[in-house]
Amino acid sequence: MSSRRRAVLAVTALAAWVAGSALGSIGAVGPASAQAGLVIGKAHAGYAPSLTGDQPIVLLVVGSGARLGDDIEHSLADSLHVVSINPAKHKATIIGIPRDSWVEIPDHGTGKINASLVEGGPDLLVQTVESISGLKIDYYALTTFWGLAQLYDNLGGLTMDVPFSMHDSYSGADFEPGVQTLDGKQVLAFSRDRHSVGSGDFGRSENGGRVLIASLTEFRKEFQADPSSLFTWIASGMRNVQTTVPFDEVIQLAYTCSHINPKGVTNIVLPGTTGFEGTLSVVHLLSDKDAIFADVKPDGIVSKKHVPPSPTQNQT
Amino acid sequence: MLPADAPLHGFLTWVRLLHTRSARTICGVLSDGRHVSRSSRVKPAYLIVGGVGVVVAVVLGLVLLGGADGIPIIGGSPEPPTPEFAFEVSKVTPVSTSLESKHQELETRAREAANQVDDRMNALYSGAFLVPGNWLNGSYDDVWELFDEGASAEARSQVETLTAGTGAGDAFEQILPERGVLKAKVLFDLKDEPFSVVAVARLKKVGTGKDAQDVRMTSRGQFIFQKVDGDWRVVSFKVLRDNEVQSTTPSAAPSASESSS
Repeated sequence: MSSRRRAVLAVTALAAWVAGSALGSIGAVGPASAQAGLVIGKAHAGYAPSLTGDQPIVLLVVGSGARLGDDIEHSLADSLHVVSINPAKHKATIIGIPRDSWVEIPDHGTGKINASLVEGGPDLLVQTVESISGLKIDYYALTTFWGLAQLYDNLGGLTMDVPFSMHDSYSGADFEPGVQTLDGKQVLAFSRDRHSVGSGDFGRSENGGRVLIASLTEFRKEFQADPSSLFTWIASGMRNVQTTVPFDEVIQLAYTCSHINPKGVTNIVLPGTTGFEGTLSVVHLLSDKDAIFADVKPDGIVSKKHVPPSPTQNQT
Repeated sequence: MLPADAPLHGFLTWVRLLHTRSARTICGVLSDGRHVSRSSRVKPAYLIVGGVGVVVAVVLGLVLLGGADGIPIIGGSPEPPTPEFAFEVSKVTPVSTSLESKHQELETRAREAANQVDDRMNALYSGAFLVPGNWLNGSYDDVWELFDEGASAEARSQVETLTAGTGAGDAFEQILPERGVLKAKVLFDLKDEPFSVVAVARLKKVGTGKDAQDVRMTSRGQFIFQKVDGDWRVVSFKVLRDNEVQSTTPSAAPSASESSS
């Protein structure tokens, strides 16, 4: 073989080797049976945002006693609850204020706290609650009898664990104890009954807190099963509750509530004694209220030592 | 800026260098150390070596830079094209928060918002399951951009459930979509502006395994969108994934496991 032919063969062989090696990599994509990282079976993923921070968000939840045709913002307040939420700890405190509480109303002298809504609308009511509590009320939410009933009818009712027997012809409450689904009218009756509930207005206020906790329980359950239920709750709420909470913050609050375990919510009623101011039947709040509000103020959470006895603790 | 023929010029220079060096070295060996006149003895070898060098360079170029269809093929098989996919929007429900809303107007606006979110969902699911460049590499960065900041961080940590997975490239030859159905609920604010959209999606995909096992991946999810800086982005999600091996070769089947997410 001539050196020229040998050169050609050698170079061709080299070229073939290089090309062959390179072409050999085409389609070589690793082990044919590789299954690394593939999960077989069921798996869940989920996320809902939440407000953060230790600064509590404080809402005043008001049930106006207005009748159809009345000005709901200038009627007697039928129920009053301060709801303080700690977003970071996902805990909350509900503080019921007896509607007949005899208090100082800013620039209006002394009177029943529910009269401040008549006198100056929600703004004056907020000022009054701020002055007796020392809390900064961030927002209020105001609803009516018919708004409350409509709200729960829109939601398909409310599952309540009725704590004791309730039979009251005035409010229409007619319940045996136990877990049951109440329609809107029944939720209203449960919230308003003060004749078959221990301690009258104190027990009634506690029941208002029970409705809020039952609502939280129901909302969480529905949201976890079907996140789109969030829209139903928000729409029902916005249509039946008047509030100063901006719309986007309503959504943020709703997401935050989805993280709050109802067991982390403490429901209390300010302790007091019943009496008279002139001819008016009133509640004189005990000084314990100051310790309760001082305790709640920094983080929205009431300590066990400041939780007063339940007004209905001995009721069956 | 380089002239338009700069790459060609560089290539020719490289061929010339290879050509010259190869000729000198190889011909030097083949000449058994005898002194030869380059002008008369080496010239034909130059031509041969040069020709072969060009062939090698072209083959290497094809292999390293891309095949005839322009698909890079270094280190693996040609990347398959992204399969066509779009959700079929089966239902749009407006949810009003105002007592004075006009239902007819809301329906029209809800449809518009749902279509915008549908585009995002198509991008999300394509990116998560169908774009080969993503699942082959186990990297889904373009998917996370569809999420709001907080949701994005959470979504990344749940990548195995929300996407074909980081190991899909080792497991599949291809992933093809079956029918995808989407329902949308549109929440309006008090001024009847679309504020949030929940997209309820169901999509089945079949991954053709490299070991001839097909895996049917079913993803049922709810993605809640809100406008962030003018774009609809996912702010909340809830997804159920179910991967089932379709073939019946038990010995080769991957062991069943449950995601920790």
